[in-house]
Amino acid sequence: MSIVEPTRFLTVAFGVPVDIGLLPQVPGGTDGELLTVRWTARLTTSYLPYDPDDEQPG
Amino acid sequence: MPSIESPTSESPAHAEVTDPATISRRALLGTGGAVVAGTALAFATGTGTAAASPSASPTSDPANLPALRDIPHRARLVDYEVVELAALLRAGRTTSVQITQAYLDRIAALNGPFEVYGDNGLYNAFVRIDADAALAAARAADKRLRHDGRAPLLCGIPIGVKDSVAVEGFSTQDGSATFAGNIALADATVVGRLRDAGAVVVGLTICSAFSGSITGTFAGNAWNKDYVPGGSSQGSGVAPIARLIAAAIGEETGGSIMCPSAANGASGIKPSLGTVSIAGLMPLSPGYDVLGPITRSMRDSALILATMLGLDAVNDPQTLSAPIPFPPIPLVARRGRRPLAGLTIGIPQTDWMNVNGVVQVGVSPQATYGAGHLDTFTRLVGQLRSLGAKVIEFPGLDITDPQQNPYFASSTVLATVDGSPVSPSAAVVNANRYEIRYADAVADFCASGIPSAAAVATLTSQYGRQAPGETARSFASADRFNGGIPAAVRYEGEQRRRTLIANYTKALADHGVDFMVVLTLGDVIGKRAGGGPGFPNFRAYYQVPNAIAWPMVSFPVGYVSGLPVSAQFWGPRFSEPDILQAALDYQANFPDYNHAAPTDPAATAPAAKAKIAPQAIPAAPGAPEDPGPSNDPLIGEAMTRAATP
Repeated sequence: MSIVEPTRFLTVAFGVPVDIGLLPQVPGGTDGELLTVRWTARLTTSYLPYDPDDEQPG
Repeated sequence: MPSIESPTSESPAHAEVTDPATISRRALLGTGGAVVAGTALAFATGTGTAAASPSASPTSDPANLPALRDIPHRARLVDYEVVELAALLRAGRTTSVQITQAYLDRIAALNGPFEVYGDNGLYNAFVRIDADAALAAARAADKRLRHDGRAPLLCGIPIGVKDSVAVEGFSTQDGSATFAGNIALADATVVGRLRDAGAVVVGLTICSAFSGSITGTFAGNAWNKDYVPGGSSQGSGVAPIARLIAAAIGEETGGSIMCPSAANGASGIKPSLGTVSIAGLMPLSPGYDVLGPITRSMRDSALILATMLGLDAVNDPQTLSAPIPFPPIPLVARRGRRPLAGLTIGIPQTDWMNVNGVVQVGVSPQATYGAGHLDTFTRLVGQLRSLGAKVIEFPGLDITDPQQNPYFASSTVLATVDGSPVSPSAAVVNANRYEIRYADAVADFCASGIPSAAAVATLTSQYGRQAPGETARSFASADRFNGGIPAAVRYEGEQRRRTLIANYTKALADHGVDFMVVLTLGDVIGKRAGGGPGFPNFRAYYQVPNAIAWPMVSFPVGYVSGLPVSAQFWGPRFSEPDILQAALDYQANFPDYNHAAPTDPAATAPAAKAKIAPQAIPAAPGAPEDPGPSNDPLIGEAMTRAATP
């Protein structure tokens, strides 16, 4: 399986958005709770620099 | 002409609901009542030039074009709407080459010199064109029309594209000579889609410097070139009305499609975030930036939007947030005397106006309108009611209230990064800018040797940052700030943005409002020269539809002092079919406003060489553009805070 690479459009090489603006179709105040174990969606943790508020895996 | 009457057009479009999720789903997916019923049927029937073909793509189905017998005689070829030209092309009454040449002739006579990021003395709607390429594309379109009976409806239609959008081979400069040499290596996704449909790209339309002003002075207003054109998509607003092009593509971050549409009396659409791919756009504030059409009629803009929209998962994942498939875009008006029956259109009373630089908090918007604009708005309300709509005043949402608007109006500092405070909206916008290499990409361009030293200084000022304690602006400083916003802080900003959206949605639902009607410009606009206010009276929080990702359409509803008065419909995210259908119905019943044509300014000898931009950086004559109100949401945030007690 090949990975489709983003297109470079301009000499000024702006990047391709990854996470931005992915607002839900139904804007609620939260991401919702589906299970007793309350995992919630988190934005951008893979893409931004180190977040001091994050718990680091051991 | 209208083709059908919705069988459910008398049923209420805002059934009683209390669950916010249900409200949102109904509103956002357009599952409520009359409008969607009409929308769905609009594709299946028609009185066009060919028999309806339910299986055909709506944007290729001639049933969505006016019948030849319904097309009025217009004085010039350039006066016909896009859909009328499409019908005439299919009937062999004209050719794309003839149409394209007619517009090129007017550009040569009335645009003035190209490559002038300033007042060039004439319309200055196009900053650069390629006439040879346009005519070659027109010849190809004519050939396609001869051999392909199912060619897309836009085949052969000349268009212009904002100077911030990639059109392969063109230098793309976002309103500034400093970006000379930023060559488009590939068409932006929307440009590619339009070309695939056979549209003829003539050139790039001028915009405010770095898309940063909603008033603008580079172009001249289509109705009087001595007045401001609206920005930042200045040329895209001017060119269709001045009959320099059939249609144009604009970009909006905060008001940049709506303001030029309003100022020139054009019919423009600012889509919801995610409806149309922005891949290939020079970004201003990713997460707000959208692309949309500006034309002479809503049916033209609807056709272009329907051709442009759609999934672009690789190059713009924001399109993943739109419904798939997107609800059908209506392309024709509904038949019947009361097509808006069942709709409740709200006039938000807390949609404060800015009058001569002062935000009129606590004053009804209508109370601030100039006399002519108030008369026109009152007439519009009567017209909408005559078409069956219920039009009510309702509170709307007070953007200056931090309880209602914790995104823009809150004074909360979520974090301090590299010495600078991070507000909720900065947490979103700056992090988004980091993600798309907003400063990095320009830094690389500056290091490439393409821009001059002076251009590098300007670009560093525009895209760089000066941290506390630093002596100069730099890209590295911008990177530290944009990239240093912690994920948790960005998350908090995003959540506050969602809360604002939810609150605005509830404000409409509480009063059964389907969508709103406003005047973005509440009084006669200002002069292009002289430094006076471009917009003496405008919606102070014109950026709110961008912040909450909702769609908006603008269309002319009258004229005062020889300049257009334009109204806007706007409503919940992805309600494009609803507000477009209402605007289509309005224009079908009151066609005089959008069919009016301005008188040409005194023409000069052709002064423009119709070729791709030269690499040399031209000097912009005259003073720098008055920046006017900014298109930047962070500036908007500051405006909001300034008005908050």
